[in-house]
Amino acid sequence: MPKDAFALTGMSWRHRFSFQRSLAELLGKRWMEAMVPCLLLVSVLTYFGVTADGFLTLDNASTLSQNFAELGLVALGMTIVLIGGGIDLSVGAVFGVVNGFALIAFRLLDWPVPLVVAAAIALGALLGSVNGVLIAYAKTRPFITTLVTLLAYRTVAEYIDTMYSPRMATTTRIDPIWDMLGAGRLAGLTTQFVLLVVVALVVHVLLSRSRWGWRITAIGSSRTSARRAGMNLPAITFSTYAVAGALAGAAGLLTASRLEQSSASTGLGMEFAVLTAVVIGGVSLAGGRGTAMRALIGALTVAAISQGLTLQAQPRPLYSAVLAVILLVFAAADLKWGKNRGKAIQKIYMAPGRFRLRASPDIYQQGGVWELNDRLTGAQAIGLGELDGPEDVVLDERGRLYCGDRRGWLWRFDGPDSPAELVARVGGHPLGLVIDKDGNIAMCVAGMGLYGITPEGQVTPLATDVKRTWYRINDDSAIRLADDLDVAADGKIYFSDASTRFDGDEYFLDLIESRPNGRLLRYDPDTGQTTVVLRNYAFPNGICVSHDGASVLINSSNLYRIDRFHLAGPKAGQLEPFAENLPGIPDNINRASDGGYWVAFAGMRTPVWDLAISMPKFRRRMVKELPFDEWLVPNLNTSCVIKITEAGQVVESLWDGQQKDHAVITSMREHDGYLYLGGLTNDRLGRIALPQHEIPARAGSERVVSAP
Amino acid sequence: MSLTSELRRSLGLAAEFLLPSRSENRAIPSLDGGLAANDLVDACQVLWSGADAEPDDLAVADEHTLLFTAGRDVLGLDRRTGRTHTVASLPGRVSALAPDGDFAVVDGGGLYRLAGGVAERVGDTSFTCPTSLVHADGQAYLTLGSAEFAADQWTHDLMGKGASGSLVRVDLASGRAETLAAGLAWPAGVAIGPDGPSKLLVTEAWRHRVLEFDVTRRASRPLLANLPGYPWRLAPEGNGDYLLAFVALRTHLVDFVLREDYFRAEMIRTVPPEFWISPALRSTGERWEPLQIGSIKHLNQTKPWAPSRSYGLLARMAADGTFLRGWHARAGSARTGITAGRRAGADIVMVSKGGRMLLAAEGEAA
Amino acid sequence: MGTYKQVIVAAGVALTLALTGCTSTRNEGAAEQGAATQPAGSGGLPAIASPQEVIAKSLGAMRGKKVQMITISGDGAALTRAWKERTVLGFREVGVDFTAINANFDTQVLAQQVQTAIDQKPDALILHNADLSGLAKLIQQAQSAGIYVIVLNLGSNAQSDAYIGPNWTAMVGKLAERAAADCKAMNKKDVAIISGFASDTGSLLTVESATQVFKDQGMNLVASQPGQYDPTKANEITRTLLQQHPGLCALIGNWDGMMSGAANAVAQAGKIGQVGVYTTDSSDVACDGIAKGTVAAAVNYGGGTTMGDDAVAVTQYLLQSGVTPGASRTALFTPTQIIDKSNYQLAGSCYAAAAQ
Repeated sequence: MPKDAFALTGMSWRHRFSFQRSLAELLGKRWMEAMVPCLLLVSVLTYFGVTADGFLTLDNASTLSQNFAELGLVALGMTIVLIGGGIDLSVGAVFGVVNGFALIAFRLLDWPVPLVVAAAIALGALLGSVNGVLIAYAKTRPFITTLVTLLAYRTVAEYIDTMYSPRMATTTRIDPIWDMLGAGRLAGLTTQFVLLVVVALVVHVLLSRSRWGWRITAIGSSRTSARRAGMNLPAITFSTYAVAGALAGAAGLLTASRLEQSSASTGLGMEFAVLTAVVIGGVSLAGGRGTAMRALIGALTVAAISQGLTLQAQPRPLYSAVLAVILLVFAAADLKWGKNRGKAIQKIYMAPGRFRLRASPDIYQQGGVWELNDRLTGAQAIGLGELDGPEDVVLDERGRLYCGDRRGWLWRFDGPDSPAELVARVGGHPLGLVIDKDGNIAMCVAGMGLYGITPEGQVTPLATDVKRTWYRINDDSAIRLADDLDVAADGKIYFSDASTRFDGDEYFLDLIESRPNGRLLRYDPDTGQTTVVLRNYAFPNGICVSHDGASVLINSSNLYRIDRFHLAGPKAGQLEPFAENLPGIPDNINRASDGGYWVAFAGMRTPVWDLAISMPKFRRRMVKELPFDEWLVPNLNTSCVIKITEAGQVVESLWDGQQKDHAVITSMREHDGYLYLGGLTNDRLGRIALPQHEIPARAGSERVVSAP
Repeated sequence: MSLTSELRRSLGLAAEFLLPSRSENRAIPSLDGGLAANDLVDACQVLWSGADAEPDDLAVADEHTLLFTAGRDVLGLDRRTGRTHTVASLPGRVSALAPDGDFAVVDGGGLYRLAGGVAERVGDTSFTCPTSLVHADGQAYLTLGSAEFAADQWTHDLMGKGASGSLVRVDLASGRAETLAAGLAWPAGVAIGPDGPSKLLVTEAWRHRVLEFDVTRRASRPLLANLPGYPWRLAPEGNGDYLLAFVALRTHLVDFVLREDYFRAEMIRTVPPEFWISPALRSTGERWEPLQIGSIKHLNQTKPWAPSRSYGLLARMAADGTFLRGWHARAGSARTGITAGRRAGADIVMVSKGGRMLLAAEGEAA
Repeated sequence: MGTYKQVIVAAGVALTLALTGCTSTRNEGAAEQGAATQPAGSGGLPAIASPQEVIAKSLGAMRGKKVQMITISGDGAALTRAWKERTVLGFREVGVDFTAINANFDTQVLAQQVQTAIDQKPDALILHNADLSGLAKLIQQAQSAGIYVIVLNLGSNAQSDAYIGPNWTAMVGKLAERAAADCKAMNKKDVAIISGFASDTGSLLTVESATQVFKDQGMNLVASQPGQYDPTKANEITRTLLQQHPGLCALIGNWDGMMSGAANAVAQAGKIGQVGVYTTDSSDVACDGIAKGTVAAAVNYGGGTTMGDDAVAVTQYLLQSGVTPGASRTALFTPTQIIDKSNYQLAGSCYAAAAQ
């Protein structure tokens, strides 16, 4: 329903889309952190899907899911330990021991299967607890300790193999539950896979939403802080190793039920595959970072590589070689990605577009309306030395002045010679102002939204967000750069959101980008709702309701034009040009007492700037190769005020020819025969007296703001 | 931008990445060491200032008399009284003076000997765009900035990436002119080297370097390269040091535009020259002048280190090329565009063409 | 043990059948039984056919069939290479689509490879087990999926269409007797056994048979340890044994690839001639050892020489016969011969296989 103003840029519909812009916004999403592991997984699956015959069949998927499940369980255990800042190299050995034990319990001791399952997991937990006790309570180093237990458990596994394998090999026992565990299906999925999914969900919930999980992450991120926060470090660390052992034991049990083989080499070298899996998934080896899902992504990648290489009948050592290469390249890539993601986004966020502009009118023409003059030189300074960046100025019925301040304040002056009085500290960057007969002010605060301020200084937020555009990648629900506002006859406030992509202090990035990123918003004080009225507008800046109240005039700073948006009457809802191809950058616009409008030019178009606007790649290279201070911009050091009639014709321009005091004028307000000047980076307000012929009998030109 | 130029640019980037030592050094050196920024030019004494005439070159006749060019005239300034008198009026714009004021050369015209208020033409040759002049042993050495543009159109030559300048020797007896070196990118200054007239120091402005030119072998070698600005005229101080003037500093934006061929061509074609992205003698603050973000005024002030189209710098350089001292007029100063500097007695005197004045740094001679 | 006896009985029955089958002529068989003995829906040649028809029909039945061989031993073992050489040659000759892969001594990988192979639904699988139970379920799964399964050398608990291998018990028994005789000649009694994996056919039967023979011969068995088919491990075990039992006179093990490690340990300890190393399988590893004197005796059971051809032959039979996979389960034994200094240089005693 919001009207689309894209056509004003003069570009075709193709230019609505920018690959670079979409990419930059996509990379900024938090879930993109896991992009590299997911990319790797997808490429591995695609590669094998294409080159290995039979990779994409259901049977292969089942086989793959079984291997994945066992590797995945151990990887989950390893992840828990890694997040807690430790490492467990003995998981493979625990896996092997429990595998042997499960077979002994099942075949030789003839235990019922549920008991075998419980005992296997308990044994795994016990073996993991040995690590836990040594590391958490005896404070030994995780690497060495688990290396030692790795050797110890390997010996136990070999012992079991030597002692019991001959007997086990010749004993058989069939049990339906055991078979179900090993080779059964639940709803078409292998039992192991279903168990993995359940366990992974539990682990994920525990890690991300339980106290235990948060504590583990805290210990892994900063051990000292966790200790000082009063967490029980030994108990939690112990628990991570015990859980890792239990998960490795569960995996060993599943392998025992599936393969029913026990050999001394079961689980030999598994630590390598598991470490590779977790590193590929993006779990940090230094601790504190990682999720269950990441571990599974890594485990699935490793299992897919193994299965794919097997399908291709490649010699077995190739698998280790491939894993080693991927681990090396990947760990480097992930590290670089993590460090440089912000930089990469910064580099490509601004995606220069193009506007079609006509040649600027010749401001040097002798006797033309743009001729330089000194009408603003010698403007009376108000608040000199106290103000910093009063972008807009407004007067109440008693003639008191109000202006904003770059530091987030609202000042009041009783008169032009009075000292400044602080009315309110609003925060943000105050820009446009409007006042009603009761002295209530509505203010556009860049970075925050639309705020109402009572004369006593009470600040209330009126509009801070709108409904998000569903098809935009960037979340544009926040009102990023509320710039100027005006009140319509029905009390609704129309205000501009100059850019949905850049903040107020980055406004020249929007200038250099030259894309229609802004929108016109309407706040309804009765319902408190804010709606988008116009979208894809190029930097809407000044807003002014026309004298008859039937339309709103909108300044486009980046397209150097003023448009009229009809509110009522036969053309209601239509957007039509008011004044096009202005030689300067229109900032604020306000009603003049003679039925026309005052417009402030915050700067002038320069010929080289117009040339640069037509060349987006030039601007992109400029932004990339030059330091920020050296970027080309329009001439923002020169300002003027122009008077424009209701028909859209410029009739006069007021300059400070000597460029002494008001470097940039962004707003002007006529009141009682004077014109008050405000500037975004000035250190004062200014005031000049208007000659008699410009002021008709009617004084004052402000409209009523209905109190919020 | 066409596909081939894009391709060339990408290949250039790849080559720069793989073979960094072979690529041109694009970094602009910062003003450091002997060239550390200051505001000394603003503290200089004004010897003369004019409303319309732009003083360009400077000569020291004796301790109290300075000669300088202003339009078609060569004017003399008596430092004791502060009054000027016209030494000679020539048929065209005078663009170079010999260090002692004996000779002057007209842009697009000939070489003149100035003796006793009369200008006498030497030889028949007309010189295009002469920028600097020295003489020794009956020979005059002249630098011609460009074969296409006049001396005042130096921005055209810079933005057009011209390299058609030359070093010419004129035999003062016969008037015969002989080109010693060609293809120079705007040689703006020439001086007798520390070893005598057999080796000349020539500045090459657009390549921002100073060359040592061996007259007998007709070969040059770079003495100083990668200067932070465009070196203009050069003058010996008498004790082995030289005074090197810089007409403006290099900025990243100008260097960037010099690399962007399409933009540059369009700019030269459609934009008036005074509004180009290029160095300038003075910043007018004109409404159509290009502006850079660092030059945006805050609280009504321009930062002194803001990137600026104009700058004033006179540097004292030892014979081996190290910079000992500099006199700077930074962004926001009116005394920019220093085209020549000489030692006059105990003072250093300099011409600020952009500020249309002659300045003296008293007691600063080494 | 029960299963052991069953194996012997089954082996005996199979041997009888095989011998019967081998010695009866085609005509006799056909005259006695007629066409009705052929199971319904089976393949095979018609009763009367010309030689050209025979070639065409039998090759036609086999053309394009997929056969895959999966072994636990890796490319480093001469045995694997020898099998590969003969099977690739043999199957190519009859137009069968054949691949050979190995698990490089990793038992889990073997299971994964066999599972993957079964998923691809070949016509026949030739397997080499790591232990008795590891592939049992998979072999059964393959058979019920209609895949012929031929097992080489190391068998499984699950029986399949054919097992081709030596009679381990008898073979190792002969070897052990030879070892005992040599020990008696030296007046020593201490002997040791180094087996492979703890639970594969070869190891189980080696341990069982050798233990029995040594007991009968009055030898003193000091150790019986699994060497995991790893020469480094066998080397370590041997070195320890030599230190602990200076009176050791014989080491017996299955597979010369592993026992070469034991032989090296004996050589390093300088006990050549005093300690004998006895091994099954007679590849160039064992024969070099015999030449140098580090290996006392080896047994050639046709592993590297004829087993590959046997596998090709049996597979051809199965592919043409049309017999339902798993319907007939047989074990086919290969002849064995002791190789020592006296006959190792004769042709056919030893084998070597070049790297592929």
